[in-house]
Amino acid sequence: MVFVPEHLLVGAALVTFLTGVVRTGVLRAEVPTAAVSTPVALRAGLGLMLTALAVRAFHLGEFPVYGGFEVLAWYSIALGAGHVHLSRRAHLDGIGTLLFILLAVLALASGILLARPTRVPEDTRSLILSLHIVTALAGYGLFTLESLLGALYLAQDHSLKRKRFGPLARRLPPLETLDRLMSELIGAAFILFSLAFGLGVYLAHSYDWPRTWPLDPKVVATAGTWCVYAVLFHLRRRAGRHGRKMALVAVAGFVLVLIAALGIPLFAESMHSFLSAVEGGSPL
Amino acid sequence: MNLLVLGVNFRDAPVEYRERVSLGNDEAAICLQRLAGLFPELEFLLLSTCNRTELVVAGRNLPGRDALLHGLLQGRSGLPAQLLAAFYLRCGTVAVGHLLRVAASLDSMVVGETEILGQIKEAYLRAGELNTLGAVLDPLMQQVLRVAKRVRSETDISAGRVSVGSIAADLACRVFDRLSTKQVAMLGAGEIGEQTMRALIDRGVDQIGVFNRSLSRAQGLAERYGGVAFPGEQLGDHLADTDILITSTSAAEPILGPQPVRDAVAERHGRPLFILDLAVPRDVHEAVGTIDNVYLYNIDDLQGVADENLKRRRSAADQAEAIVEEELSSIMDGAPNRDGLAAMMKSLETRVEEIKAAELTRIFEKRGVAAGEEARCMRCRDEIRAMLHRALNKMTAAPKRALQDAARNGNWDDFAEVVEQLFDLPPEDDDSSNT
Repeated sequence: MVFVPEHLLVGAALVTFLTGVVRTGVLRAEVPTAAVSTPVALRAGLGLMLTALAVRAFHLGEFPVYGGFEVLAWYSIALGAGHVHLSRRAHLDGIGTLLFILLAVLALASGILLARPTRVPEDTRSLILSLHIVTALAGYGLFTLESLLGALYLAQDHSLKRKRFGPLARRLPPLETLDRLMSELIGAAFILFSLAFGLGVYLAHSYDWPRTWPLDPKVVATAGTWCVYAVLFHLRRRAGRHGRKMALVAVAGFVLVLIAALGIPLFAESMHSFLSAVEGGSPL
Repeated sequence: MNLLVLGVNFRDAPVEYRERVSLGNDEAAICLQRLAGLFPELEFLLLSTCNRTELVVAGRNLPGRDALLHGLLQGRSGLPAQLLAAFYLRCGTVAVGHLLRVAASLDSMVVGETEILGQIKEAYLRAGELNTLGAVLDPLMQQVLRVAKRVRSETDISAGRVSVGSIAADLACRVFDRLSTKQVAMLGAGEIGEQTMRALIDRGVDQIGVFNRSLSRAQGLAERYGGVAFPGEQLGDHLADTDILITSTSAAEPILGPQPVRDAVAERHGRPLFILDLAVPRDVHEAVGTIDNVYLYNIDDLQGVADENLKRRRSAADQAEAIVEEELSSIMDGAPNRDGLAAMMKSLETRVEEIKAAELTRIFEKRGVAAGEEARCMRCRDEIRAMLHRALNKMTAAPKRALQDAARNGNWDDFAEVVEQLFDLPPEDDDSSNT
């Protein structure tokens, strides 16, 4: 594996996220300042990832979106930035540990993918493609956060129904807070993902893909994800729905996100494979 | 350590006895002043709560149980013999250990309750204001408060709530993020229902509907809690707007079934509905608890949470006991120094008073008072007296501070000897560490 300067920055981000895991998880009960340091660790880690992307852009001489490292870095940043925004709107004690674990795993994976060559052909690279990838990743990031909140809602609901409160449930925000945050997040996530979807359709036409492109497994899975979140968006923002069923839909949506983002590239042939930064898989 | 605790608590005396010897703030102050007058050489601290009345006494020649009891209960006639027999007397190390356990809430009726620490602080401040603390009790009570804080911060002794009302309010806070915007409906007028309502009001609830079969009763309650009264049968019409429902009627059968709740939840578009059924027999059919977004708790569920919290506190009590034991031995290791310090402070003050008296006698005897100048002369004498008092106090302040530090830091012997020689004090007694 070739060592590049970005490795240092990603390594530092990984250490910062791991510190976050320790401070929010292990030390939270004993160290009152741990709660205060959570946003600091998160912002520092995200800053390091952004800097790594900037260094990457400088080295490549182009907008950094086409490799596996870039994809995971943008995804992490969307996820972390979403959390930073939400933590300004509500006290999110109890979510930090899970988020830090996820970010640490993503930082580690992105560091491993740094040395892999990008296989996106030169002639397909464009501003529209970059925008498509970044908006899709931002949408995926916010959907992930939406689903995480949904899962925590279900955990809190389960504790309240069972009338037993374990260490996690004791630290979770109230049901109403989780519900409100999910409702607020779905708007931004849906708009970003819709934009990515629209740009994808435009790109499919501009690349002269065969007429069967709408049946491409990746496109089908992405359209399914979009539909689930469209329904969720409608129910939340238009019909004013709340509660357990909405949380279940959010979690179900994430299963589709996983299928579209990971399952299809790994297990199915797709026209998106030309974008692959990893052997046999697409970053989107 | 020359210290004792004379007291009575909930273990040995029922409430009808305890209330006979319970003292309010003013009464406690009067009692302390009376005791200080009866035994001017002793230090006193008086703690009186609904669960205990305890007198802490320190000094060289401690009086007997009866003399102290007489001083404490003077003016209270007709006290039953069983009550007087229930008073316990703890001395020396046992007394210090008792104080630590009381402050750490290990000796409370509800282990881990937090009020006792505030009550001890109050008793300490009151004794300080009335000058009934001295070189033994003052530092000891500071240690006691410190240990109590340590126990609370290092163990789960105060974890979770144990009263039904507070637990209900805590559970409501797990469901809703701002109780101030929530609509609460109270059906029935049971005592626990009211207790729960008060706990919710303490957390910011201010939109209250009171439903009762008797409208006049509902109006009385609504007036008390700043809510609106409705006849009981109108609850169904308001259920969809209700976020928290408290029921505590005396109905023999459930009065709220699943269907009206299902309808209300549908109208609420999935917003959660929190129901506290505090009635026995229950007011709400148990099938209501299975409806999505409805969280139904009955009195047993709340009691279950209370018991669980109490269990957590009890398991933390062993850890707290270990801290108390560790601190007790550390305090008792320094006890001879503390007694020596008390004795030396007393000697120092006596020496200062002797010097002051001798100098004032000398100077006032030398000068006669001219006729017609008596008043002016008395004013001058008062000023001289005050000046001498201030000067001597300032002169001895630094040595006193150094002695206190030495008693704390373990180099007492070196300092004590120097101060004895400098101020020509009588040598320290060897019996100062007697219990």
